[in-house]
Amino acid sequence: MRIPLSCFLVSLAVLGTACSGDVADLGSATCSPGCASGLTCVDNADFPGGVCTASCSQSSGCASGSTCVQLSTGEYCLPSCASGNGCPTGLVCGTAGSAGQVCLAPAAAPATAVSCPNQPAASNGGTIDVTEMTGCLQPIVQSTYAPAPPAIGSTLALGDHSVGETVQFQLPAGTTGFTVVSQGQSTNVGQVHAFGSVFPNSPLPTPITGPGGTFFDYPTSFDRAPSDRTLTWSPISPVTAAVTFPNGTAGLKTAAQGLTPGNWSLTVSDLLHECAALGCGDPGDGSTANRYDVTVLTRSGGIPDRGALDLAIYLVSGSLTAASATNDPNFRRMLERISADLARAGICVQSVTYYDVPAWARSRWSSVPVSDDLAADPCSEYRQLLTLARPGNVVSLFFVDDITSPGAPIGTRLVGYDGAIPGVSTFNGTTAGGAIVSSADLSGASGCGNDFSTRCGPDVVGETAAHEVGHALGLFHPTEALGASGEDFDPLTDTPQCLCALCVSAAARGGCADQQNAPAQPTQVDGSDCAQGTQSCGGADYLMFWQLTDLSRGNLSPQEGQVMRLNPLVRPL
Amino acid sequence: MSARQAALCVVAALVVGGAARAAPVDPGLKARVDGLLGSYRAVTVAEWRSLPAEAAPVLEAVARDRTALPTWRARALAALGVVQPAAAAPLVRGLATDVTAPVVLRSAAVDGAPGVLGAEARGVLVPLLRDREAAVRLRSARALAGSGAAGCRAVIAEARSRPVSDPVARTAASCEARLRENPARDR
Repeated sequence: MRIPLSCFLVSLAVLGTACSGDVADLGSATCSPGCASGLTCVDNADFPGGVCTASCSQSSGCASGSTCVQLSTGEYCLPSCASGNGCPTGLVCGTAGSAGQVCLAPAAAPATAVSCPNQPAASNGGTIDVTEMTGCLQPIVQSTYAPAPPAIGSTLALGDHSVGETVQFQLPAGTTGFTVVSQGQSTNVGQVHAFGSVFPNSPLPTPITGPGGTFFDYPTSFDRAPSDRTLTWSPISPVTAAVTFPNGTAGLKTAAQGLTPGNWSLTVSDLLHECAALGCGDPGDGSTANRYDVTVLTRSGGIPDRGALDLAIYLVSGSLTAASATNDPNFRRMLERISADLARAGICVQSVTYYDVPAWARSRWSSVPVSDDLAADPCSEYRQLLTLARPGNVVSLFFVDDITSPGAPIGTRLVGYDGAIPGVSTFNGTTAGGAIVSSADLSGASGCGNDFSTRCGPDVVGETAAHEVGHALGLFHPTEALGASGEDFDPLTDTPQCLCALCVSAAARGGCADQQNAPAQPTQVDGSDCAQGTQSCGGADYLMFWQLTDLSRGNLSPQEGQVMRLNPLVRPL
Repeated sequence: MSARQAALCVVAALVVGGAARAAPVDPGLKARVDGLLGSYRAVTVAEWRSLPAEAAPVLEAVARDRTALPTWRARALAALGVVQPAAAAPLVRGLATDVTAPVVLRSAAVDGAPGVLGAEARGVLVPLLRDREAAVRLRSARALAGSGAAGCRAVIAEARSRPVSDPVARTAASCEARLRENPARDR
C-alpha cells in the first residue's frame, strides 16, 4: 500500500496519526486520548477545549505542510489547507492573514439557551419619589443583598478605611465567589491623569490574600494572560466600583472547586495609589489620602446551572410612561429580545418594573451627554442620573430619549452606556450603578421580522439593553475595534476572537495595530471580518461584540454565562 | 424619430445616466460603514476621516433612508458632516426643519448645523426656537448659544416670550451670564 505523501507529512510532522487506504486520513487534533510525540495539548483562548499542536517561531519553522502562525497566545504550527476541508478532526480550514489558508480551531460553540417557564412579568412601579437634586451627589449606600432562602451568601460590612489599610474578613466554608464593593468619600480624588489621558480613579482591593497566600495582586497579574489571572480589573468608574470574583477562566476553575475558608484580607487601594508602581505621571501617584467604605458580598453553592434576574427600567422620557410601557407591543418585543439573550446565559428574567421619574428629572436627563471624560467624572450628568436608582436587587436601566456624545462628530447619538463593569450590584443609587439606554429607536418597528435586524427598533433597543446588562453582570467586550489580540484583555478563553492581522483583507492587513509601522489610524475589525467561523476570526454574532450589526445573534459563551450567574444579582434557579 | 420615441430616449438616457452616477458600492466599504454605525462606543472624528471619499454616498443613503432607525440615521448624518460636509448641508437643512422626521434625528441635524452650514445656520436655527418639540427648541438654543454672541442674543430675544421653564429660557440665562462676562465676544 502506498502512503500518500501528503498524508505522510501531515500525520508524521503535524499530527502523528496513522493513515490507511488511498485517502488521506488527516487524523485528529483533539487532545483525547493524548497527543503524538512532538505535539502538546494546548488549551487556551486560541484552542478552547484543547488541540494537539506545536509551538514555533518564525526563526524555527514548522514541518513541511504546515505553517507557523501568530495567534493571540503565541505562534503555532498549523496544517495548511486549500479549501473548506482537508483539516484534521477538530480543526477547520480558515483564513489566517499572510499565512493563507490554514487549519484553525472552529469558533467555540456558544451556550445553549435555557428554557424559561414564562416571559418576564412587567409591572408599573409608578413615579419614584425623589426631591430635586442640586449639586453633586456621591451617595454611600447600604447593600440590599438579601440572603433569603435559598441562602446564597452573606454581607460583610468592613467599614470606612484609608487607601493602604489592610482589612481582615472571614470566608465561610462553601464559598464559591465574592464581590468587593468600595464606595469612595465625596472628597476623594475622582480622576487620574495617566499617560496623556484622563482615567476614572476607580477603587480596587489589592492585594487580596487568602489562607494559602496571595490570591490577587493587581500590578503583578499583568505577567499572566488575562484568562490565567485570578481577576481582571479595569478602571472604569470613578470613586465607587466593584470587583467580582470570578470573572475569568482561571477564576471559574478555582470557583468550581470552592475557595479556602478562613481568614482573608484585602488592602484598600485605587488607581491613583497603584499609579506609584505604574508610573502614570499624575502628581498624586501613590496617594493614600482617599477613603472608601468597603463591603464584601460572599457567594456560596457553586456555579448554578440556571439563574433568575429582575430588572428596573426608569423611563426618563418626554413621551414614554410606565403605564403605557407594560402593554406596549414594542416594549413587549424588546423584553422578548432581552429575555432571549439572557436565556443564553442561563438566566431567566423574572420581573421587569417600569418607573416614571419626576418632571424635574425628565427635564434634566431626557437627553444625556456621555463620553469617556464624562464617565470619569462622578459629577457628570450621566453619573448623577444613575443615583436615581431605588434600592433593590435589580439591574437598573435608565431609558432616555437621547444620548449625545461630546467629542464625537457633532450630532452623534449613542444607543447605550454602562455605569461600570461590573455594576455595583445590590448597591443601587451610587454613581456607578446601572446603565443608560436610548429609547429613540423603540418605535421603529416597521423593519421587524422573525430574525434580528438593525432595522427593527425594539430588537435594537432590546439587544442594547441586554448588552448593558452583560456589562453590569461583569462581562467585557471579547473584541474591541482594533482586534489586535483576544488575549490583550479578554479574560475568557471560550469567546471567539477576531485578530486583525488574520481576519481583515490583504489590503487592510498592513494597517493592523500589531503590525510594524501601523498608521496613526489603524485598521479596525468589522462584523464581516469576525464572522468567518473560526476561533481566531469570530465573535460578530456575540452579544458583547463591540458593534451591533445584522450579524448579531446575541450569543454568549458558556463561561460568559457562568460569570453572569455568579453576580450577586442573579439568584440560583 | 417620433415624439414618443424621443421621450423614450430621454427616459432611457436618464435611467442610464442615473445608473452611471450611482456607482456600485464596494461591499467591504459598506460593511465597514455599517459596522461603525453599529458601534456601541462613539466613533471619533479621526476614525470617520480615515474612510475613503466613497463612504460619503453610503452615509448619505443611510441618513436619507426613512426606513432606517433614527439613531442610525443621526450617526450617519454626523459622520457625513465629517467625511463630506457639502453633501451633509442640504440634509442638515432639510431634516432640522422636517416636522415629520424623528425628534432625535432633527436634534442631531440641529446640533450639526453650525459646523456644516456656517453663517447660514442662524437662519435655520432661529425659527426652530419656536418649534413644537421641546427637544428641538433646546438643541437649537444650545447650538445658537454655542455659535457666538449674535446667536446668544437671538436666544435671549426669543426667551422673553417664553416661560422660565422653557428650554430656550434656560439657555438664555446662561447666554446672559456669558455676555455679561465678555460683552465684546462675537464669533
